[in-house]
Amino acid sequence: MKFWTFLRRKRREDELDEEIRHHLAIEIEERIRSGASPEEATRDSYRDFGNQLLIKDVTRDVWRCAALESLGQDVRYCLRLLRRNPGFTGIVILTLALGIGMNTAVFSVVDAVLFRPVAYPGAERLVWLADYDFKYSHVDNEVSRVAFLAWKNQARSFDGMAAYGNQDLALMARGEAGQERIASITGDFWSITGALPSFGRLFRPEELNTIVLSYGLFERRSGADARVIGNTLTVNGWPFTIVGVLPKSFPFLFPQQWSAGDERREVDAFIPVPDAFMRLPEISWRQEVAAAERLGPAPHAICVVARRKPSVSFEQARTEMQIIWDRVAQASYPGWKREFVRLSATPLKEKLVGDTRRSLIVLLGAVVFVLLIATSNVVNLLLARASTRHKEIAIRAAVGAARKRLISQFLVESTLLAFLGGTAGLILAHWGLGVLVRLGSAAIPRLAETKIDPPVLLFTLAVSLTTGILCGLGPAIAPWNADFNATLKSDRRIFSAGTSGLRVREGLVAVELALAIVLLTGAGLLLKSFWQMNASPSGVAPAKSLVMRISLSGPRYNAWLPKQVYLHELLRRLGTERGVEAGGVDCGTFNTSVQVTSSAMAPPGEQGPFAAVRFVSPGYLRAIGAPLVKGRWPADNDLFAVLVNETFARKLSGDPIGSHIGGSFLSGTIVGVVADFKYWQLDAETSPEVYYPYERAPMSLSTRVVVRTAGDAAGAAPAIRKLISEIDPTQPVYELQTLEQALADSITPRRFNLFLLGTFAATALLLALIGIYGVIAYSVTRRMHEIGIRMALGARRGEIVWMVIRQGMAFALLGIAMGLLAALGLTRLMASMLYEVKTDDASTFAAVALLLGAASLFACFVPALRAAAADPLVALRHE
Amino acid sequence: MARPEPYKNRIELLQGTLDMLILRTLQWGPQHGHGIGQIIRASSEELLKIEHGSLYPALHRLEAQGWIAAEWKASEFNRRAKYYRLTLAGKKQLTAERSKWDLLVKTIARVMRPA
Repeated sequence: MKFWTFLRRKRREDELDEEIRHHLAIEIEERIRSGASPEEATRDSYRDFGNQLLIKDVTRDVWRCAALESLGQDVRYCLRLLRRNPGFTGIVILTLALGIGMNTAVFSVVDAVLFRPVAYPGAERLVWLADYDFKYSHVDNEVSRVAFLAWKNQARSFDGMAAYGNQDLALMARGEAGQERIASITGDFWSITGALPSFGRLFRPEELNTIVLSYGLFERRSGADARVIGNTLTVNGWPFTIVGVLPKSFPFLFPQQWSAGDERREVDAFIPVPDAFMRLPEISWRQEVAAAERLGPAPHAICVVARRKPSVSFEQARTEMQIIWDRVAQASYPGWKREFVRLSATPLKEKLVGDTRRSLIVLLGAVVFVLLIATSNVVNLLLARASTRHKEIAIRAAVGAARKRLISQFLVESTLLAFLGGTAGLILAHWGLGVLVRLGSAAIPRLAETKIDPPVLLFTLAVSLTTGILCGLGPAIAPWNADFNATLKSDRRIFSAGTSGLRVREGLVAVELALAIVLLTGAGLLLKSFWQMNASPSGVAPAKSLVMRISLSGPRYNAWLPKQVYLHELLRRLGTERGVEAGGVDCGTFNTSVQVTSSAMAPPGEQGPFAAVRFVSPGYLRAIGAPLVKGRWPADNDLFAVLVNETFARKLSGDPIGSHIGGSFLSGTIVGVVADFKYWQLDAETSPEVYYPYERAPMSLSTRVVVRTAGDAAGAAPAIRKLISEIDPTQPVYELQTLEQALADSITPRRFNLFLLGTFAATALLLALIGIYGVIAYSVTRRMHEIGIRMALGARRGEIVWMVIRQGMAFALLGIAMGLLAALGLTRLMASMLYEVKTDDASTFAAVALLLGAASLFACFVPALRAAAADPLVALRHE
Repeated sequence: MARPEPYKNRIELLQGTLDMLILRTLQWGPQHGHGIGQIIRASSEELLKIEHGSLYPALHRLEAQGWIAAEWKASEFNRRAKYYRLTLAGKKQLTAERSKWDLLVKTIARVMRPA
């Protein structure tokens, strides 16, 4: 496009040169013929012709103008107008920049998270396959080994299927121990991820005791020395041969297992799952741990990703998997598992994006509302100004301006404003994205990939253009039907537009208020959810508790017993430390059904209630601050005392104290009931829980330590860290923070949503109020003359105030009513973002309506007072 | 300027009339820029001198408006020259401008020589 313009311009330039040369040549020949010497003729001709450069310049202007003449004139005229009204221009550009900037920022997040494909070959065909526990844990990130092998053998819809599980394990290299994140992989993992080694090679699934390093680990632990290939290092005490190193650019993008701790840590190395381990039958957890100790590092649970063949649709693949799944579950799943587990097959990207999709779409909708409000405000401003320009327009029409020209001028003006606003918006978006990524990278997957790239720029351009045309349309059409004759004859500059223009503007403001109500309601519901989540029973002081993790890995902690010895020592030291009120450990959770009988000897009844059995030390609940509701705390050395929470107690008939529990590995007596409270995930439902002595747990997954301090918990952190690392310096303490901080972190995604929606709602509120104020103030100015007459006739100031307020509140209330209705429908979309709040929560709706009503009243009150304060004499003369 | 001004009784061209003069000149047939200037000068008996500074921009403006069209042809000196010719729209424009001009002249004459 640009190239052709350039070529055309070049040809025209050449032609003009030739034309002028030709002219001069004739001139010179004529002069020679009439007797001048050639030199004289040439000199005179050139001088006579005048300044060639200037002539060319003027001619070039002609070309440009012919194409862009009218547009250029309009743009210049607009710029002049805009420069003459810097206040007006500034407000319009700022308003549009807010709207467009917010949209750009949110769109670039949506683009990065939802639209951009995962960076693996054929990523759109990757399918997440898992057993989904739809009844209790609601997780879908575990597959049994037996099922994986059967699926891989039988399914025909896929050209690859891989399993992986990640853990943090002790890795010893060059004499140094460190905790590294290791993914155990099997199946077609390498081909599915499209991984190629940076150097060395990748192992085959059956190659035992080989390891492939990530580039990061290679740099950090091997000094980035390529001769490391073939060397040996140890993982949890087992020797592994380094066969290859992955390139720096290779990302591990699959979901990681939550039990492994921080889900966002990079994977440092890859090892194969031992083949013998994969072939174990469905066995108990305890047996599995024992097998891993015998066979080498193996994951607690595996996740499965498969790649569809290009010829197979997702639905076909799912249907085939469902048949295979049913067959495998029938043959090898225990009865309890068959009862509440189903197949979950999801496109990988959907699994990665998860619940974020819904909230992002809600946020995108919200931000579009903000833009609509901003646009309405700008339309209102432009309409108001257009009505003061009616006379000018009528004059221009009278001296022969085509209506088309007049309309195009308004459109040019609004589009120009929108582009200026869009440019300012881009700057705003760039800045805002920085804030977003910092705030939300823990909350939203793939957020860090967000950037302002060509698709985003295109989006901004499109939004600016649309906004510009929308804004200009109203003022452009207004003079279309105007009677220019009447306008010219009228000696009032503003009055002649009639009231129809004002009606339109009041309507626009009513719509703005309605949109603002929807946003405010959404934000209000989120805010209320937030309060609900943070409400905790009295007596809990999360700021006084410290939580941290220790991993207890490495050759010394291969079995459960040495871990117990370590924990025992840890608890003993915590017990004698000054400033520590209580200390405890939590060694993991096991979901199972618990049988409850009146005595240990009673015959086991039917299946008891399902509960999360937490393996804890006696001091754990006291350290975390759980209030005891009934019974007593267990004694430190009582290995059969069990506590339950209120939710569990409610599932039992009669007094739980003194009852016995049994089932699978459980046995013990309930000695106390603690209050329901959240000590881990603020937005999780409270589940029935049983607190079981950790010493009698079959095994430990991960260990969390909780310490309640007498004074400031954060201040005591270094001392506690030192105390723990003195027990065994090779076992690092990590994720050390106050319980308060941990709880706050647990709802980062929700806080992120609240922050964004709150910002949008606040902006919407502000813009809508500016809108009301603008319309009322404008209408008061228009009616000054009338107000003067009324006052001259004896109207009291109170009546004037009331008159103005009544006019304003009429459409404000209309807008609020429309908004409440719309909110009732739209907030349903955000049900999954709420916590213990209904989407039609009456108190939120009432509060929002009241807030906006009061704010509108205030916005009307200011111009009303101004009207009432006017001097009737001045008002009468007002034009 | 050192050189004596050759056209003592030169008339300043009225604004907006150059376009009309160019169109009028082209009524006799296609002509190049230099020729147009010469014809106007000759037919005004040397009273009107067209500034080159306005002639060429005017030609390009008329071409852009579609009143005249250009074509490269061999000129009388066997050189390639850009010849302009009147288009149909240009003929209409010329008629319109001529009647406007006649009216203006008549009106101004009436004012200047009241009966």
